[in-house]
Amino acid sequence: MSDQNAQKKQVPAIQGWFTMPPQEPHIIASKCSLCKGYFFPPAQVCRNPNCKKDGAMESVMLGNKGKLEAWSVNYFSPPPPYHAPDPFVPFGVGMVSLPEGISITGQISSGYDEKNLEVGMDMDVVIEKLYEDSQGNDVMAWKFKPAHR
Amino acid sequence: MGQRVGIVATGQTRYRSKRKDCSAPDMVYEATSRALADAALTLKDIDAIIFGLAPEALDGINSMDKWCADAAGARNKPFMRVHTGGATGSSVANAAVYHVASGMFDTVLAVAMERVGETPDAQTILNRIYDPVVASDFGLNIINHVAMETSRGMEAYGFTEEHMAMISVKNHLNAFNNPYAHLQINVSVEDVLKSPVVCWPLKLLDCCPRSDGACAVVFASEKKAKRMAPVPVWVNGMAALTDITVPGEIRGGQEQIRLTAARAYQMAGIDHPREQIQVVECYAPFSSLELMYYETLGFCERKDVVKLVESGFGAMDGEVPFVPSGGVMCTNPIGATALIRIAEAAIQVMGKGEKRQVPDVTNALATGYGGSPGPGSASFVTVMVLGKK
Ligand SMILES: [Zn+2]
Repeated sequence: MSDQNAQKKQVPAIQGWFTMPPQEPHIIASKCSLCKGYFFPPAQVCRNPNCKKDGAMESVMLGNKGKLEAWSVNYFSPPPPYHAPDPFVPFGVGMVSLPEGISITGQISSGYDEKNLEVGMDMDVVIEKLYEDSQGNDVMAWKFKPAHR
Repeated sequence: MGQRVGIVATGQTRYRSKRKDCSAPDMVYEATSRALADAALTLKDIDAIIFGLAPEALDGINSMDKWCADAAGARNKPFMRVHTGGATGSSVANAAVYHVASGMFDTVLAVAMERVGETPDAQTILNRIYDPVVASDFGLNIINHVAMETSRGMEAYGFTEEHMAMISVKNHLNAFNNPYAHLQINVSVEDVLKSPVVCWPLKLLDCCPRSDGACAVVFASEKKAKRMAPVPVWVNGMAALTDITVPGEIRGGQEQIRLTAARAYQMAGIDHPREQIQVVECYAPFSSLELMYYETLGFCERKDVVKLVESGFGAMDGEVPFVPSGGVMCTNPIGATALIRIAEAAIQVMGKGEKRQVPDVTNALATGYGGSPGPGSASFVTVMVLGKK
């Protein structure tokens, strides 16, 4: 490994919303101890207006295998704050239902488009590079990748 | 509902990508004065004004409502602004109905506008509304959200890109009959399919433009309405429903529309929409959304949507014409768009549609849709049933 690569760091796009390598890839949600509701992004207090709100919020790692509910491939370059590479590369987006009954949206790993994506596919949660920041660090976030189960 | 409410007049500007010839208040004045002229009214007849404007960042100026109040005729009268994103226009209409139905006001002017031509890039602004952290940084936006909803719809309803293109062709054709429509262009199925992919499966010609323009509608109590208009249009049913995009509760727009329509139908006594409603002005900025309305508004079962599209069900000469005006796909001054649906539905009941008139309309339907599908954010659906009786 060269010195340059050794200095290149992986940083999370948002701290505390997902695990970072070398940990197993998981999205982190909150669960209310009273109404048992899940919240993502993680919440400090329960957001269910019917809940008494004095319950503790527990941090939970969501299951990392789900199903693709809906998807698209974005062919136009979104304006900032999206960090578009130059030249722009189209990217897939998907909504994936996880075992807890939560559906989460995010990008789909590169290399997948309308030729190989399908509603109902098995998907894995992965933690991958979203973009490179101005210091040359890899900014990481959750993505979804078709699984072969 | 309190006292009965009718629509007595409508007024619209010509919609364009940029109105260089006039200011924002000028557009409001244009729509307002045309609405007054439509029923030979003067400002003396108006008791209150409800004004609609969507995200003002789109208009390039803050608090545009203050600048437009005078042009809307608000001097010495109650005035308020309503804003529910894309549903702003229909929320403005709802607020006007609530004002009259309460019995506190007899005649209320609803006027809404947008001047999207002032913003260099509407997507930049919409992206920052969508969700500043989770969504826009990750490349999630309103267009790819609708595209995802479409991919799910294709699976559930069985429609294809060709069916979406057929809707686009129909709407662009209808726009030629509407003197106010923004886009009046000839489009073939092949043109739609060959237009650049924005977010698969949505191509450029499956998507709405952004427009400058204003729309005004006058609502009146039963007693006044009968005196003011030869054919008053009665608000027989209305409903509004808010949904929140919560992880784990993916209902999506379709379920929300179904529920809102059911409530409006119940109020209006509509139990067989396909037999009882003759024309629909639905809020569909993308071709795929219009197609799904056939089912969610109760005109057919899910399995029959494709059959209806192929048989031209929603065409001008079809069983129930959808958006004779050309709809949102051809005209989209965001804050005014949902009020245009109501104005156009009212025009159909009044029989003033000229080249876009559907024969023998006794009931017309208008819908509105707005908000943001970003996580934790709200979206708004409205449905209004207008009738001759
Ligand atoms: Zn709770």
